Amino acid sequence: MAVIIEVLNKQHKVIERHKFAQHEVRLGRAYDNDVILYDRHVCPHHAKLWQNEQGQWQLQDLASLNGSFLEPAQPLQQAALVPSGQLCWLGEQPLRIYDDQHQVAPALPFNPLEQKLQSFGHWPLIISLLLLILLEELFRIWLNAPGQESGQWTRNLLNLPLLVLALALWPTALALWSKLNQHEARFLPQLGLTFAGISALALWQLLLSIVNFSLDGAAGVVWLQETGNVMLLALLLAANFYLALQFALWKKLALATGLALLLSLQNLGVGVFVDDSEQLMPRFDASLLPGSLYFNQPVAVDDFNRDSTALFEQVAAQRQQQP
Amino acid sequence: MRSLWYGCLAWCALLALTVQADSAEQLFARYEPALLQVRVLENASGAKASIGTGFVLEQPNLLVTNYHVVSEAVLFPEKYQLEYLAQDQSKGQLQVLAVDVINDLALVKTDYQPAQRFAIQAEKPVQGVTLYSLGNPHDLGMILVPGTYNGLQKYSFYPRIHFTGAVNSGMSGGPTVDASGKVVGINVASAGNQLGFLVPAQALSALLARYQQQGQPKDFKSQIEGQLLDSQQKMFAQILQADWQLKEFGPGKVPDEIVPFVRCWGESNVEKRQDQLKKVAAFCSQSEEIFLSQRFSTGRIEMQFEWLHGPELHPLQFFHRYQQNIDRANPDNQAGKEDVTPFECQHQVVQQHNGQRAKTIFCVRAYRQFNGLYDALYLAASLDHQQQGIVSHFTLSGVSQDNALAFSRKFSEAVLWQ
Repeated sequence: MAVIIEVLNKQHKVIERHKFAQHEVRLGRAYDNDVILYDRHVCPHHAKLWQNEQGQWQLQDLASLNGSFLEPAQPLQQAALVPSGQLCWLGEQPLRIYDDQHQVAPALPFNPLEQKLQSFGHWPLIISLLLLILLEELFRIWLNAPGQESGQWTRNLLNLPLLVLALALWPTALALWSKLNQHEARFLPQLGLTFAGISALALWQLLLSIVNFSLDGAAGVVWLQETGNVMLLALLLAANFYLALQFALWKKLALATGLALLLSLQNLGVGVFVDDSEQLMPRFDASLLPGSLYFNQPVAVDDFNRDSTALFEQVAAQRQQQP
Repeated sequence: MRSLWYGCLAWCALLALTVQADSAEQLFARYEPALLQVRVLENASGAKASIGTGFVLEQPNLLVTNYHVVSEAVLFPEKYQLEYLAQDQSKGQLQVLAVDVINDLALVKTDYQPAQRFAIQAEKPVQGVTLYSLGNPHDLGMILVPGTYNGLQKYSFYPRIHFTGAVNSGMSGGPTVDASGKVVGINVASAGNQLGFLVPAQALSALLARYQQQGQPKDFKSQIEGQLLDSQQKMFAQILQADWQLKEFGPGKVPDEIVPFVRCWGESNVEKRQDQLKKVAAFCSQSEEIFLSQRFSTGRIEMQFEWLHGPELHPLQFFHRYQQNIDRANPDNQAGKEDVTPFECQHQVVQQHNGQRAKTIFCVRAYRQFNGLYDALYLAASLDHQQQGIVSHFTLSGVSQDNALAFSRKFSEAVLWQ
């Protein structure tokens, strides 16, 4: 019965895999071993694995300096049986031993979600999304109609590369995190996902500004906008974490939702901490767009005056309440 | 002979000067004991929070000063008390008996008994006559300031005497007397160098008569409330009945100086090449305010019109800048959160009588201590043109619901797009 030896790193990821048909396998740093190890704490001839008459594999330490272990902190004094799948250490070098009859896990089907998310890493898509973001940013600059004389255009345009770099920081951080944890970096899919999320948020703002104007800044629109923002942000973060983190799915979703809520709450929280003088200022919706973007029926003067009368009753009722 | 003539001329001039100087000196010497420094003391610290001047009337135990000198003690009797300091350094308690916030007057009870007291001049002075303002500027001691009577202030809803003489802070509440020593007005405000304002003595006579008839009110707040309601009723009756004169304003017409006490100014950036958004603005206001407390004033009216046009701007660009122009509107009177409720606003696109659409904002807040009084704010931005718009805006302070709504109706109908 053949033996399979997996050489592991400190995180117990497989870095080499060997299969031997013979009855004895020697392990150590010397070049005449069957498995040549790198770890500096491993002796040139550290240990051997051999098969007894019953066909079972045994590990025997060859009087090494730092010892061999089947259990941590219990150096082997004599040859010991190694069941298939057993983890053992030569010094600090972890190994896993299998026989060739050992059961392996069934094949995993392709994950369609992961494949979809990976497809965001295609260059044409990334470039299109980047162009969309730049276009939106240019539109914003253009909307403020900077004077050509003052060089505002040039200044604003020079800021665009900085903006792109700033946007790329998040996918870079995610890719680095994956790499550090011995997973695929997946930088391009993360970059594509981030750009897609930002584009979606920008388009959502644009759509909502028209809706808000047409509905005269109704309270529900603000609510809808905030909810949409949180949901889009949570979706983006969930996709990012799905690719970058190795947690259970529900943990990734919880982390993404929590982070999105935290970021949005911070946005809202600013309004809570402003000083009293701000509360005395009238707060109203000032949104103005060309009349052709107003998709609603304007109210009649009499209706407006009736609503004004109602406002008087409303504030009169507030008179006695504590400030 | 000739030298004798010149000598006589010089002598006569000197004589005349001496006579005038003598009369001012005598006046001051005679009436100084009837002037008191009025001090508002904070109960907690015992220190003086503010000071002003007061003068003792010939009517027994009565002292006159400005309402704004004693306002904190009237509105917050549990936090402040009043005290006088006389020329002989004697001190004593004061007690407010009646107030007139519209004319900024207060009648105060005192036990101080000076040898000389002030009488009120019933006759109106002649323009150009010399008057003497008495008071204690900046706590430096009682002084006398000569100046000229220049009639009633034109264009003011609240009658005020224009006195050409230095009325400084701390002289508030002091009397201004004619050469005979009778009170013509009460020092109330200054508009800088040699430009002082006095409340006419008639207002004091009226307050005195009312006090003698009705006595001390049970509750100053309801007395003040009544005065504010009356005053705004008179002001708005005049405004709403007036035939509003309109003036050309860009592509439209807007109200001009609708009543004599509303004055208008204008400005524009049309000459400046750099800005692609051209702005023409006109402001109209009744800017005299009624003082209620150190952080609460009322009684103002303000109207503002802006014509914005950007012929070189895309409609989206124009409306973006247009929005920035209307997204902040402030009340033009001072008030704290103990004085007023927060604003409640409505904001809708309104189809006006002429068929034009305008984004219209109306906000209102109520006075907490005075029932039936409100601050109102209105703002309308026309929507039907691609690269130009007119913003019409008004703020009213200390106004009743009916007057605010009637003004709003008349105002929105008056702004026209041609």
